[in-house]
Order: sequence, then structure tokens, then C-alpha cells
Amino acid sequence: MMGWNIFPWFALATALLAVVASVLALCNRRVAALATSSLAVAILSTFVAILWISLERPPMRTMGETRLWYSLFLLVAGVATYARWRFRWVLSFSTLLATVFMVINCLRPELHDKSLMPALQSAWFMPHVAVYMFSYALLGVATLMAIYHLVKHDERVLHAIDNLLGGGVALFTVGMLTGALWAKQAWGEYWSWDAKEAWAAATWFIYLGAIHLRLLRPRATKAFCVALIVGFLALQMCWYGVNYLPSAEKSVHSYNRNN
Amino acid sequence: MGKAQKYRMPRIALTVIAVALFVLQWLLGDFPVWLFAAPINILLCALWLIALWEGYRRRATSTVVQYLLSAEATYTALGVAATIALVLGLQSEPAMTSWPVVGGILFVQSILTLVILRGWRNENGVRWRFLITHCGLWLAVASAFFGAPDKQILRVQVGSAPTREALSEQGRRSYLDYELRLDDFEVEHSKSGTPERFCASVAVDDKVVDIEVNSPYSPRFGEDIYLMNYAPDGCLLQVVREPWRGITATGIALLLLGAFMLFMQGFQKRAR
Repeated sequence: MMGWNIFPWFALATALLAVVASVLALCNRRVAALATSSLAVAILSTFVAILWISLERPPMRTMGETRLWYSLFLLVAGVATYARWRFRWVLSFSTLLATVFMVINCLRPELHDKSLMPALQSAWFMPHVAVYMFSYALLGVATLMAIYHLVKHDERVLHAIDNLLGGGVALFTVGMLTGALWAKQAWGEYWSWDAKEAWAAATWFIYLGAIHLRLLRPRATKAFCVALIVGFLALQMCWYGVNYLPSAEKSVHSYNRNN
Repeated sequence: MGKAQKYRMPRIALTVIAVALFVLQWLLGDFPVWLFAAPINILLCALWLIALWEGYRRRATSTVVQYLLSAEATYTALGVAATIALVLGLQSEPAMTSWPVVGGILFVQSILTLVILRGWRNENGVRWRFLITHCGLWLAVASAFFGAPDKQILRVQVGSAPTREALSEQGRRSYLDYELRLDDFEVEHSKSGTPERFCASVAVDDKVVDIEVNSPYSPRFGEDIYLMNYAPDGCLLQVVREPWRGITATGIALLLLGAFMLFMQGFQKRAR
């Protein structure tokens, strides 16, 4: 039966096409980059479909299956962001992360038998994580550009910062909402204000503050850039800093420690 | 008159209200959410909206409304929202129903309402992205805030004998309008031996349904039955009643649509 045994071939084809698409994007060959990266997405999607049929259930139960979805959603997010915002570097980023997850799946087949706890076996889980990863990347680059603007006072980067911030906050919002829908399906509550959720909400409000500052006081670029840096620091707390807080002891997000 | 002078009174009033909320918390303990179950919450929500609408109509002469519509009030509202989130995140038992949190959410929601009234259209017509994102957030927060007193979480211990008895989070006994009985319980293990699927077959008024983690059963819109735990003598189910679900779902759908529009259009006019 076809399944994980054929995955290395699909992974190789996907990774090669994604790398070619990244190089084409860096060389500003936009149409060719989009066509090639879309083909990479189609090939990986084909493997997901084959696995789904061969397992006779949605492939969302094991660590390996989760990483497969991460790879797919990261590639899709990369293509969508590049298609809309034309950041030349973005396909390189999505290719790198997606390839890391595909390589792990090829080198560590034992992950295919390691089950996720039932609460994580949700259709909302994979987009929730992958969309967050991508929003972190966009907001991270926006922060680096904000620091550059504060140091060099270069007005030209502000337009790129606006675009990165809009895309990053949009994906962050989708991450929060898919998380809320998943929580409702798994536990009956959309939002329980555990440490990670609370920091995610605080981060979101800080970024909303940055957007409103930019819209209401367009000349206050220094305050805008400082708001982006504060937002990114809050994002670090949301991402991994909360694990060091006492309130994280009861967090529903502490899967790796209490289970 | 400068803005600092003009908004002096609203700022003082807000500070006094904030201090009063902390004093109320100290004197009375948590906000009595249970007192505001339907129809009282719906009535209060309607009165609050009428008050905001009347205030908005008098915005030309009311300094308070002008302040609430100012950029400063928007930043303050977002700062209050971020602070509430951080304080709740630092607590191991989030004080969701404390007076300062309830007052803070009402303040943020009031500003959001006024901003929607003012900004939903301009000289070029309806501002769809603005309207969709802000109304999505308004509905999601309103359903969580005003709908909180109507939400019920009940635990039901279900065994081989039919039962209607349920316990609320506060330990109060109530009775469901349907019977529950455990028919069967299955645990599937992976090759490595870890449990990967729990499934309870439960008879709901003689109709047998499978209830799993991540797959609750919905006897009617706004009510779901979740699998919480299993012991040899039966399983623990949780019934969640959420009468405001339609509003919550609309809010989330609008926010998702707004996020898509933000992704596609950016937030600056010149980006389009």
C-alpha cells in the first residue's frame, strides 16, 4: 500500500521545485516563481491525498502527519504572500521551513507512529500553528526594518513595513481565530485566558495600536517603530516566554510537560 | 483651547471611575454576573446602545463624546485591552469577573461602538473593510460580555443507567430535558501503545451517538455535549449551553473576512 514509503520522492520533488521558485523570486522572475511554487504545493497536496486515501482517515493523528501539514500550509502561505505582496525573500523563508519539516519526516520515520494526544487531533490545529509561524516571520522582518528606520531614518522602508505589518496582523488574527474555534470544538470554550492566550491577545492589541497610530498620526514614525518593537517583544513572550511564567503551570498549551 | 485643557474633565472622570471600580472590587468582591441573565442583559445592552447613540448625536457639543471619539481614547482603549489581557495572563486563576475587568471591557466596547457609528462610511461611500473588522470584533466581544450570564456549563456523570441530572460549575443541581446513558466506551492505541482515540457511545433519548475529544455532539443549536473523562463505572460529559452562539459565530466569521481583506489590501489607502 502506498503511503509514507513513497514520501521521500514527493518531498524531494517538492523541495527542489520550491528551491527553484525561491531562486526565481530572488531574481524577480515573478510569474515563473509563482508557477513553480504552485506546482510544489500541488505535488505535496497529491501526497497528502494519497496518504489520506491509504489510511482511510484524515492524516491528522501522528507527529509525522502534523509536520506534513505544516510543510503544506507554510508553502501555501508563502505562495499567497508572494503573490500579493511580492516580497522577494518570502519564498526562501517558506521553502526553508517547509523543507526542514519534510526532512525530519524522512529521517525520523518513528514519528509516524507517535500519536498526538486526542485534543490536538483537530482540523484547526495545523492551520493554527502554520499561520502563526508565518505571521511571526512577517512581523519579525517588519521589526528589523523598524529598527533600521530608527537608526538610519530611511523613509523608504516605511511602505514595506506597512505591508508586512498588515499581512502579519491579518495572519496573526487568523491564527487566533482558528485557535479559538479549535478550543471551542475540543473544550467548549473559545478563549480561556490561559497565559499563552492572554499574551496573544495583548500582542494583538499592541499591533492594532501600531496600525491605528500609523493611520491616525502618519508622521509619528518613531513612535510607530517603537510600537512594532514592543509588539515583537510581546510576541516573544507569547511564543515561548510564557513557559517561564508561574501562570503557565495550568496552561492548556503545555502539551510537552504535563502529558 | 488646547486638547490637554479640553479633555481634562473626561480624563479626570475616567480616572475616578477606574479608581471606583477597584474600590468596588475591594468592598464587594467579584462582579455578580449571575444577576444579569436574560432578559436583564439584553435590556441593559439595548439601554447602553441607546445612550451611546444619543451621545453620538450630541457629539458636536459634548466634550465627553468628543474625547471618546479622539485618537487618544482609541490608544487608551487598546492600552486598556492589552493591560487587561496581560493581567489575566499573569494570574493562575484569571479574574474574568472582577469589577475593573468588566468596567474596562465596557469602556473599550463603548469606544468601539462610537468609532463604528462615526466611521462606517465617508464621502466615498461605505468603508467595507473598516465596517467588517470593527463589527466582527464588536459582535465577538459583545457576545462574550453580555452573553456571559446566559452561558451554562454543566457536568453529567453518565453510566449504564439513564440520567438527566447535571451539576453546574458552582455545584448547583439541575435537570436536562433529555436523558443520557452510556452505551459503550472505546480506547484505541497506536503501535507504540499510547492512547490515540477515546470514544463514548452515548444514548441521547435512545438515539445512540459517538462523542469523542474534538468531536462533541450537538443536540440543538447552541448546545454541545463534550467528552471530558472516563472511569470504569462511567464517563464524565460536559454540556455547554451558549444561547448567544449565532452572534459569536457571526463575529468570528466577520473577523476572518476582515483579516482576509487586510491581508489582500493592507491597511494603508496608498497600498491598494
